[in-house]
Amino acid sequence: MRREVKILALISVVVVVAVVFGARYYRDAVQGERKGGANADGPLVRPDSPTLGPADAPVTLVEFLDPECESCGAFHPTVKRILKDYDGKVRLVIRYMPFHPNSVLAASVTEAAGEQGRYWEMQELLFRRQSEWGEIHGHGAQAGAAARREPAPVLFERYAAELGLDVERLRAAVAENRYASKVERDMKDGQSLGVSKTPTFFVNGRMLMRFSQQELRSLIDEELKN
Amino acid sequence: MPVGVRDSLAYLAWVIALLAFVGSLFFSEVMGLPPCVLCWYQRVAMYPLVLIIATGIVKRDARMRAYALPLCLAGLAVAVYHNLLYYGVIPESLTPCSEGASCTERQIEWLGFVTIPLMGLASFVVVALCLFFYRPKTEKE
Repeated sequence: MRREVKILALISVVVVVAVVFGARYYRDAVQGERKGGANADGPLVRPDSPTLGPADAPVTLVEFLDPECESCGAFHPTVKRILKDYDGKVRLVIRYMPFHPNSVLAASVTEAAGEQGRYWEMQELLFRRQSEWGEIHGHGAQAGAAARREPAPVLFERYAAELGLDVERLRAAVAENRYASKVERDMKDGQSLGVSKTPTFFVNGRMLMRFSQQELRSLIDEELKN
Repeated sequence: MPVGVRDSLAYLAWVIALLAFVGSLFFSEVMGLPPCVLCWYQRVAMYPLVLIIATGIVKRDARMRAYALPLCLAGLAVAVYHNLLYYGVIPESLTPCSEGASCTERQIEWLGFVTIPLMGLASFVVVALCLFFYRPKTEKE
């Protein structure tokens, strides 16, 4: 091999190794930080945040989500599976991070369904049918596809009827804008915690730095060991 | 400047470009800092330099300079503009960044003065100087 090639290769290897270790170190350092209190009424969990699972579960999993976010929808079954696998050991808390045009409305509809005791059913339905009401990506497709669509509020009321909810009551709750301030507060809390994308998870107050099922599970395992 | 030093300037230029390449990706991919538009334009200029300079070194091709310098100067121009915006010499209303991260938002300030735009500018200046003074050893030397 030429001398030049050897020098360049050697430097490259050194830099790559440094970056790999640096990235690992950085992630561990940041992930180790606890943001807010998992059990206190800090900005991480509010008393009125929707919660699934036993209150005394050793692990509190806080998810900042956007009902209109595709990754949140795609990852949702995984979250549910994790709750099932860690039966009783993990408590899920939902916080909103509305980044899309219909996010606030969708969050309000979920909350309004919660008034009638069907919060989680509505959340799941909204995720499952997201392609019907969610934002259309790609500029060319947008205008045409949006025109052919029914408006989101109409679809949401149909979903409510499907779930057997009192549609009038739901419509009134949404029209009153009862939950806008809650969603807004969640957004502010999220921003103060450094949440910039959805879904973002906190496991007992520790932010999940790399988004993957495996990383989430290992962080939960770690917390369960402590 | 001795010939040996002028010859090894290519290595210095390459190392700086490599660090800028890796460092900028570290900021955005590992630390999750959103890159602003001007940062992207500087990346467009900086990233190819890593390969162009490396090829020039391996091929002992003095013409590498002619390929790399224009790219480097274009990046330098963007970096200068970015720093003028960032440090308030040009008013922010002129900023082309309407979407994504603001080009003037301070995301990092190490030692009180080392910022990302400053690192970008410094990289382009050093690479440009290295390339300017670079002269490869001929076989005789």
